[in-house]
Amino acid sequence: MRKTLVPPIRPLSAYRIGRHALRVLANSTRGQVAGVFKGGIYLDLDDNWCCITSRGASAGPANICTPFFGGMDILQGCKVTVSRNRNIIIGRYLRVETVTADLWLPPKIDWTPKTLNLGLNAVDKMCVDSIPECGLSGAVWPVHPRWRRLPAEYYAAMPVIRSLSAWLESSLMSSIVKPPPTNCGDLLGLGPGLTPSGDDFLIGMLIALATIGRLDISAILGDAIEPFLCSNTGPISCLYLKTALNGEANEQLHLMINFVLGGHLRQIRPQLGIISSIGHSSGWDSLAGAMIVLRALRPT
Amino acid sequence: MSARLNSVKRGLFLDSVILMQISRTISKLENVEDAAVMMGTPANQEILNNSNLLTDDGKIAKGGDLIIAVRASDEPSAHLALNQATSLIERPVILKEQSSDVLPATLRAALDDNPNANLALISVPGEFAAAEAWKALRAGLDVMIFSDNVSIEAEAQLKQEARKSNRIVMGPDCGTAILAGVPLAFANEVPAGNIGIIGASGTGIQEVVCLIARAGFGISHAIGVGGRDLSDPVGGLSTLTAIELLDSDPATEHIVLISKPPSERVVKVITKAINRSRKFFTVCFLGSADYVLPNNAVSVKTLKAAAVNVTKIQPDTSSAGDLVSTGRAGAKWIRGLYSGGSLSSEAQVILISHGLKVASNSPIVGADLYVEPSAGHVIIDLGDDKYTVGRPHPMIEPAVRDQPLLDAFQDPSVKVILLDLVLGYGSSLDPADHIASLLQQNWNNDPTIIASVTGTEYDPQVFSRQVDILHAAGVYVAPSNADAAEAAVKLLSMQYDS
Repeated sequence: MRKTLVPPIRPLSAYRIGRHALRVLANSTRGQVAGVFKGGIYLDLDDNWCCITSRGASAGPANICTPFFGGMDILQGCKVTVSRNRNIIIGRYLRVETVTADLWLPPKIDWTPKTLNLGLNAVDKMCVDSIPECGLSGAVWPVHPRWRRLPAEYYAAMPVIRSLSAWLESSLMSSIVKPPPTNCGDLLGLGPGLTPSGDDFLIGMLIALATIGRLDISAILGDAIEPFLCSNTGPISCLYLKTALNGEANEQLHLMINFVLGGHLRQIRPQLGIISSIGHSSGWDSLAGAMIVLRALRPT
Repeated sequence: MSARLNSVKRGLFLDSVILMQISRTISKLENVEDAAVMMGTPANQEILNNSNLLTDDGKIAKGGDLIIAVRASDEPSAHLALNQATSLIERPVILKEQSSDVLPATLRAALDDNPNANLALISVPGEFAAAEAWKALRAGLDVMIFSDNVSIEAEAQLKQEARKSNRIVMGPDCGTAILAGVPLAFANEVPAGNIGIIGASGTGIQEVVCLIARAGFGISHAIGVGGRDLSDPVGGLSTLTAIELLDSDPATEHIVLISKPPSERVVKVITKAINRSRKFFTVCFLGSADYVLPNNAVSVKTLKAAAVNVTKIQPDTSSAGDLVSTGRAGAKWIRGLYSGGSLSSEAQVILISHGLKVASNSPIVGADLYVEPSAGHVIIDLGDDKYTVGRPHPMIEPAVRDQPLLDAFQDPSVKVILLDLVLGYGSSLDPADHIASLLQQNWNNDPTIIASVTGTEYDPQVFSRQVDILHAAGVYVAPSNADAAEAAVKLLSMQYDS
């Protein structure tokens, strides 16, 4: 008989929880660990997804923020149950208590056309020569001459991004919003990474539209892409697109957009550093999506 | 002519940075012309197609799948790159699917697969179980025999052999064990701790470990020994071994021993072993008279008392709700419909302690044998063969209890029904839901139903969820099985008072 003790179930108190995650926990009883990453654990609970993030990761609508350091043997497929107090029990390793967690809401910002202009000028200067060689940021900022070749997703996305930019310019200037370009769904699931670049780009657009209060435009865009979410992209990307359709995304993207809108010049550079560290190019791709909205708002 | 190969990994999620690194790594391999590792979305399939990387194998991918796509100047190089990508991708992923691909068909094959195994769990038809247990003992393994219908002579021989070879035989008919945190057969998910359990009683072990867990304590090991271990022919051999094992286990500080009343001879043997031990003991021989035990042991009457004696914490009654008598005029009997044999014994202990006359199909000392039909307080063990011939045990299939429950609704003399729900591995995944559905269609809050739930928050069924479902259905849920029986007795008094 083995005499070694297995580690006891480790209790963790979540300190912040997003609205989407809250809804998932309220409506779910069991599921499994769907993905394990350095920054967090994705849970598939009765076909609804949320994420337990580890120490240092950002808040967000689908995130349950904990001081978890990782290092335990939590594996994909591990069983998860949710108790009536919204305690999440993962296998026999971890219990995450969420009752005392604060509700996370996106940060707000005051802005004017003048502050926006300041922010856009600053971010454009900083992004030149900084953008990654993959993803879609090359569609928004000039690509560096040393690049050997543009990524395949760039060529696939460019016609869509051009038509989306034109649609945004006309929609933002008008009280009547026309339907988005029919090819906007082509961005779904496009490009490398866990969350494909095209999805991140759309998320950036949706969050920028929500931040400036143009929920009418984001709703029309949502109507165009929502029917294809499940079939045209993966479940993690689908999760983030759904929360973006409700105007919420990773806190760092909200802050970046807010700093640009509010012309907070001192904060833009460090925030750009944080954005560039999200995924392989996810942060850049979502910022690029936000930029085509903010540029369409730029005073002429 | 280039060779193209695709591989699809279903439902596999890896960090973007890792995906890109793997893409780059295989792209740089010798003779590889192009390679990509991407989510298999329609848009990405088009990119792969345009890059002459997509094959028919890749076209089956969905958005949540991962495509590994390689194009190389020759087929061996393409295979090499694909294999390397696959190994890089699969390294951090659970091997669950692979390990269940090939199940060994014999004990020998299982040992060949896992030479470090030190325990065999035997669940075969009873007539073959003893032979398999012998093989396991000869292979140097501890043995847990889940099977029943093993003769008591065979059991005694197996256990004698095990004692000689410094091994333990748990069972036959051993339904519950938790060894070093690993639940075996019907067992609950409980935290690790310093309390060791030895039980000749499956649901008895489960009730005690769950009460201990819900009180905030943990279990080192829970060793089932089989219901007949403390009988005269077997002589408590496995209980003795279990005491020695836990006595030498540094993680165990307190030992709880649970059984039906043993024979006088076996009591003496066990008492001597307890006396030799350096650990503290709580002894619960359900339905027995008091025994004289050594100074390091305390005798208790019920499973609840065993848990309370170890933890010094009474079960939490805060969520039980108000006990309300909804009984009908003339109704005066308790009807217990139990899935757990030891839980039915504990209920009998409580009822008898209040001076009530009880009948049961599995009577303890002081109770009568239940013969249908008969009036009076009746406690039925639905796990008995009579109710389970050709059907699963009621812990697995809660519908076994349906007809007796409907019969009790129709019986105007029944004032209160006692139920147990036993959660954990092996048990029904949602027993409360089954009962709630039945009650919704067939019950008008009369007679009163009192239930107890044996389980923990960590069980697959989640204790609090099961309690909530029962509450919502109008069932009074006591914090332990003993409390449920006490509540039933109290309810009888409420009728007399009013």
